[in-house]
Amino acid sequence: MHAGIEQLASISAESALMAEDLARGRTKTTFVRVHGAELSAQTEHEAEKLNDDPVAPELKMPIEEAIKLAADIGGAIDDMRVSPQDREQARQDEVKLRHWAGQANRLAEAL
Amino acid sequence: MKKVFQVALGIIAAIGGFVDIGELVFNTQAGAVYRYQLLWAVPVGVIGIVVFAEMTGRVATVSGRPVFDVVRMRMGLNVGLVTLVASLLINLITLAAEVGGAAIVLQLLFDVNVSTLILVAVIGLVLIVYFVPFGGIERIFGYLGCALLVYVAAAVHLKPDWHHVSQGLIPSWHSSALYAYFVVGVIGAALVPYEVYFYSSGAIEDRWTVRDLSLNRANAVLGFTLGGILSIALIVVAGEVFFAPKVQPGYLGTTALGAQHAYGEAGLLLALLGMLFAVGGAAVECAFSGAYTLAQFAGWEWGKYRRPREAPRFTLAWMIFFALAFVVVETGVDPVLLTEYAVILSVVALPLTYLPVLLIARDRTFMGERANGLLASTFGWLYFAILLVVSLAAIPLMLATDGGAG
Repeated sequence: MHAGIEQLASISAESALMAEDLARGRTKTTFVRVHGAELSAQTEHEAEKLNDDPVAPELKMPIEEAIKLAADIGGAIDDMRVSPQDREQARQDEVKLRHWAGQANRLAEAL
Repeated sequence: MKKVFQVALGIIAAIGGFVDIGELVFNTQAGAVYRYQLLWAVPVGVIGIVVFAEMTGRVATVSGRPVFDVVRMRMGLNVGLVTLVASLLINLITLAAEVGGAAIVLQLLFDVNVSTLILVAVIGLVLIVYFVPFGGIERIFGYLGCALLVYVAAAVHLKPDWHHVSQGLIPSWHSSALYAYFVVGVIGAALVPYEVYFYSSGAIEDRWTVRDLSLNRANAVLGFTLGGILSIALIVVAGEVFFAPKVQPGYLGTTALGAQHAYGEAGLLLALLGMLFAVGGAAVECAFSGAYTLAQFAGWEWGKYRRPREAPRFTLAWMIFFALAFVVVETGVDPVLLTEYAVILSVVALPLTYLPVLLIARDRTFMGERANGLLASTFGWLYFAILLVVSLAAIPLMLATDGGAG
């Protein structure tokens, strides 16, 4: 579970780097779409694992929080993939993704 | 002048040909997780491959016997057969990883279905290998693989703390299984055996004579050493871009993101081009290595300098290797995961081919005045000891860390 949440933090941080380059017009559309699809699929996979793992009742809340984070991270990556020419949205996604990466790291450390 | 030019071309090809998917994966992960702390493992691996490649090139040049000829002669049929089967299996896993890697890079460039791109990659590689002569193959992939030098430029451009970088080159130890796993991975990624089988068979393909032994030494020492600088650059770039935000790289796209972060779209395109030709070249070397080992062990006619009609079983063998790799990758297995298995299993099997070459290279009745001197013998045995330790630790560490997952 700890590793799964750390993985979410890593994906969010990497997606923030991609969003930063996208916001500055320093990337290629195909790269954002293909690599973004890999990261988004990985986010979904981590959320599924967190959902399916049997956990103690006191861990239910952090797990639900992590699954919600996974949905937010995947959504932001998918937004970038759908409209990679939208730099303003990429700028907003970058800020959100960095924030979620920090939140996931704190959640993992607290477990 | 012609000789200097020949040496320079060989070195350029060796730089571009040094990096394969193993280096791209393990070095990026090592830099992201431990920043510069694993830099020292690169020279350890590079000196190992220089020692091994120089010996195999010298043995092949002096005796006309490439690695698997020597293995069978020195180890006998039964042990030789075990070594052959292990090498062929590892070669196939590595080839599948390289073909999968080439398809992923093409997908990052063109956003087309990966299944189609695996087929495109395999057909493209088979056509190049069939129609282009041996020297041309070395040059196409070696020179274009040099686009990866963008990582050397990026490592400087990102302005790392050079004091910390230099400290990373001093061996250090952590009591962590994950750290030890990455040490094995970084050393193993530099010491892949297929490069050595290809190198020694290439000496015979290029019809080297004892007059070319200085060329052998220059190619092995300078080519692999300068290639090692690429590995160091990959670690430094990953350390600068991915360490602070705690990114755990699991895709080739992440490695490309490092170059993009330094130089934008131009950096990304150079990185992807370099990766495509580096993994494509490695795929060709793997397919040839498989065919070389099989043909040399069985005593078939072999060599790219021969027409397919003159070496039909050799030609069929490398084609079958490509076909098998295609089937493996089309199952949907993750090429990055395959790479990790290939590197770790290569390390485990390496002493089986290293020892017979070392024994022959020091044998004066066989090599005459070209046998290992004091320096080559010292390094030869030192590396045999290192290889034994690394090969015994590799699988337990892979299991203990869940393949580097922590």
